[in-house]
Amino acid sequence: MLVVVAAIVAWIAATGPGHTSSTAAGGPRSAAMGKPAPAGSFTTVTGRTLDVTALRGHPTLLWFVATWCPACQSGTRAVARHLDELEAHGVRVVELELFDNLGQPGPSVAELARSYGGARYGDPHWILGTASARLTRAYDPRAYLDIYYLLDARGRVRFVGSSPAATMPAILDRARSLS
Amino acid sequence: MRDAGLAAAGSESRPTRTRSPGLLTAVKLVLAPTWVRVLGVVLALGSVFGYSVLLTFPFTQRLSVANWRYLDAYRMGWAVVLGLALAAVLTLQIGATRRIASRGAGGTVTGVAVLGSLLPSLLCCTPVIPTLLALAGMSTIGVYGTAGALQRFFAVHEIYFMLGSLGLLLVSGWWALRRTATGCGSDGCSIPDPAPQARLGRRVPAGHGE
Repeated sequence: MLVVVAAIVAWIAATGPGHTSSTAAGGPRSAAMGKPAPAGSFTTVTGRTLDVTALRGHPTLLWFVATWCPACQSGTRAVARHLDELEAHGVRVVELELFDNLGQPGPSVAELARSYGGARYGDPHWILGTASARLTRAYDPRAYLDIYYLLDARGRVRFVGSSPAATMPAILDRARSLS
Repeated sequence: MRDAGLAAAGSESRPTRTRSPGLLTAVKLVLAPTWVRVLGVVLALGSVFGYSVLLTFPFTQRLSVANWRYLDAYRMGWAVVLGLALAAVLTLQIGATRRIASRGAGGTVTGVAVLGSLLPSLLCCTPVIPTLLALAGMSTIGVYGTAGALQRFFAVHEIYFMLGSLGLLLVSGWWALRRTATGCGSDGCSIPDPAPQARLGRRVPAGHGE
């Protein structure tokens, strides 16, 4: 039985979001690597409604979270800690709550950022908001938690991954190549 | 169950089982060999290490010692408690199995306990649930609702899974000790009597020695 448990753990670890073909190989068809990032709107915590296409001009880390997800919480802390390095590469962070938090109750994305981002909350290079249903479906059709896209200044998808808490070195490495 | 008295009746030199040791005595019996105690220490270190990495899995979704960055007092406490409990149960089970050469349901219960303690870590934030739902043919809307609910369930109710697992480990440990105390496995009773000479002539009828 313990062998079965070990096998299950190994399988889950091997199929974690950072290792899944659906993300590592380029994300869903709607937001595939090298293709223009699909359009879709989101509402920032300051009440502005923006479209992803409006993010062109700067490399952007477009990150989708559920605010009740532990990985997203630790990822928020990691992003806050590395925000200066991302800014140094010209990358801004757009952290978006998945539409309606995947139908589950949880803190707002602003509360999440305040709790785990500390003093970096409100930084102009760190945009927080809530994704529309269309945007959520386009970038996260399987409802994964904690999935991100690194977009170049022309709005093309350059890197897809998950869990910034674990993959920040890879994000910084890719950001370096975009700057 | 075979009658212990009858089992010994055919051989005068073979000690007769006349009583069951208590659980504390069973612990002493199981831990008597040095190698069992060494094994217990090794298992404890390994289990605590394993739990410290696995219980922090949701934060990074990686199996790595880098997860220790997220090891707060709460998770460290659970890693120690569950790790020590698992090591104790495994040691007792191995020791008991060696003594009475039988296998019971304890191993399965332990496996379920370990799996239960890890379920929140492995399912709350990984793509396992959404992937399984999608493979099951659920629609996108259905996946969003169901996957969100299931993943949040594991994230929010982690404490109950931990407590349940700890309970199962305790049951599993008790079962291993009970097997040793009664000295009976699927193949009968074989605990040597500590003072057979003192009990000669005091054979106990079947069922009265328990």
